[in-house]
Amino acid sequence: MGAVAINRKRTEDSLSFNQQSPSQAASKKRRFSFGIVSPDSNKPSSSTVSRISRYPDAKAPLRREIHAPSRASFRYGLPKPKPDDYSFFDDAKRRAFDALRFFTKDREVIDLGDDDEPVNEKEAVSEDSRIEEKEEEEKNVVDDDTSSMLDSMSLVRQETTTDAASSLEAYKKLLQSAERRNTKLEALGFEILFNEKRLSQLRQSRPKPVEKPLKKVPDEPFIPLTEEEEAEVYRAFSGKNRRKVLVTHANSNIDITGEVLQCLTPSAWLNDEVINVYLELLKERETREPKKYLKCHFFNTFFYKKLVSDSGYNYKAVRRWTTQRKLGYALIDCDMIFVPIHRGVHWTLAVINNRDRKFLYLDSLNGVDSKILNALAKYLGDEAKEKSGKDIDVSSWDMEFVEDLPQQQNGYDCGMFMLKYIDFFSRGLGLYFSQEHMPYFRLRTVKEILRLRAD
Amino acid sequence: MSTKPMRESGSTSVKREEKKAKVESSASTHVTLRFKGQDEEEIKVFRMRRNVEMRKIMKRYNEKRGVKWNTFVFLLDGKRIRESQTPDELELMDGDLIDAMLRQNGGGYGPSSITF
Repeated sequence: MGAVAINRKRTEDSLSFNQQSPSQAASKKRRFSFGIVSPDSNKPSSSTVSRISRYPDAKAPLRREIHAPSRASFRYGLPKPKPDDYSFFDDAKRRAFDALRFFTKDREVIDLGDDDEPVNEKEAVSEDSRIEEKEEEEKNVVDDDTSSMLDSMSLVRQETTTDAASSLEAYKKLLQSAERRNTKLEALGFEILFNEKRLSQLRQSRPKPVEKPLKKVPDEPFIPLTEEEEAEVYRAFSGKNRRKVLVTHANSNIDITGEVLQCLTPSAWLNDEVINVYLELLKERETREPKKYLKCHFFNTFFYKKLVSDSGYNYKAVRRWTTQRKLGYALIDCDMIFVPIHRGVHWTLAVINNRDRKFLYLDSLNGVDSKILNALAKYLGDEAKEKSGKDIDVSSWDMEFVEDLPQQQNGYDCGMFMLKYIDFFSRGLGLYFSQEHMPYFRLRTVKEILRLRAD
Repeated sequence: MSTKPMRESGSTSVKREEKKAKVESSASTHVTLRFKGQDEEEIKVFRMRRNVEMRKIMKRYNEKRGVKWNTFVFLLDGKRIRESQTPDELELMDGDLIDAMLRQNGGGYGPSSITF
């Protein structure tokens, strides 16, 4: 950055003149302005910069005197060309000085002590230049104005030591350029304020959407188990119940033995029986209270395996799975169709969202597989045509790989996550749960299976 | 019968009529069932008595595949077949296809801590 370079060079030059405070002031100022940039990190590059860097040399003694600033010039009775401009200049100075407390003090102490030279011109010159420095820093821009002004100033420098009139001219010129700077400074200041406001507004608007839904989540999905229920669950897990058939879901012909149920103990992998039984319970839940839940169809875990096998997509293999007679409703009349996907050792979920006309893929390990959604899109088209004689333009539907969803933090909970994605969606809720809820969900699922009732 | 919406049941009823004829001509005590394994093209054909529990035939299938008896899950049009059921109960017809599916386990990744 040019401005930094300027300062650094100035410092070095000041140092070469054995001036303690200017260099200190300069370095302090530099540090204050940038905060993190190290003094020696940058190198000057442009001629303008080198010109500017030359500036501090002669200026050093004069600079300090500026601090005695306007007071001194007043004292000396220097006629001011434009009183208004002077106050303008004063404001700019004050602003700059306010920003650099130590700077001011330093200067004043040393200033008044050291120099015997006429204060006016040098003050004027150095003041302007000093302010220019600050302005440079604030803007981080090397202005053409600066260079021309500095040129004039360097000229002025050589002359003002003796000539009051020429110093006056120089003073005028400096004032003018300073004033030009001021407008730019103001514009910048305004921009800063504006951006800050925007930033704060953005910040305010950002967290809100996340907060609101959380408040709306009903307690139901999270109702803790009673002591009784917990005892029941742990009894089911016990060794002596392993072979015993604890429950039978008549409709789906699934027998749940203790052994099967044990897959719901913490860190165990879920198996197809437990998942399929739970899906049946969800369907029954909806049938009990249709108004409370979305109209859903829950395919079992084997559906997708038959639909898409090694030999590819095969609608015929599942054609008879969804007859009106079997289901009691037409598949395409459902709001949501859930398709559990089993991939080797991992459970994921695909959803046909009939209501919103999109296909979703949810993976608790954030994987992606477009093959699945493509197959389901085809299936929907085939099914609609075959069962209801309708034509659905699935190509116009969205395919979404849901990214913003609860993720598993281990290698064993994916089945539980999948079940809960289904559970929450069928309630019409967003997925307001996380890994930490999984142990609870496991117990709750055992309880629901033992009772053959999902709530 | 209209064609499109009733196509499925239409074909089934035709099938059923054919099958009934077959069954009546041969012993009506037996039924020929086709078993298709998951990810397998080959279809194994079995013949069994109608009033016998499915358990036997399921066991036979597993044996033929060279696996433990309880390895496969058997589905009829997506619904699991219980061992204690009979073809009569299930209203099975000759030539009906039964899907033999492998059990599924999943957790995410890594070795499962509990295996059954």
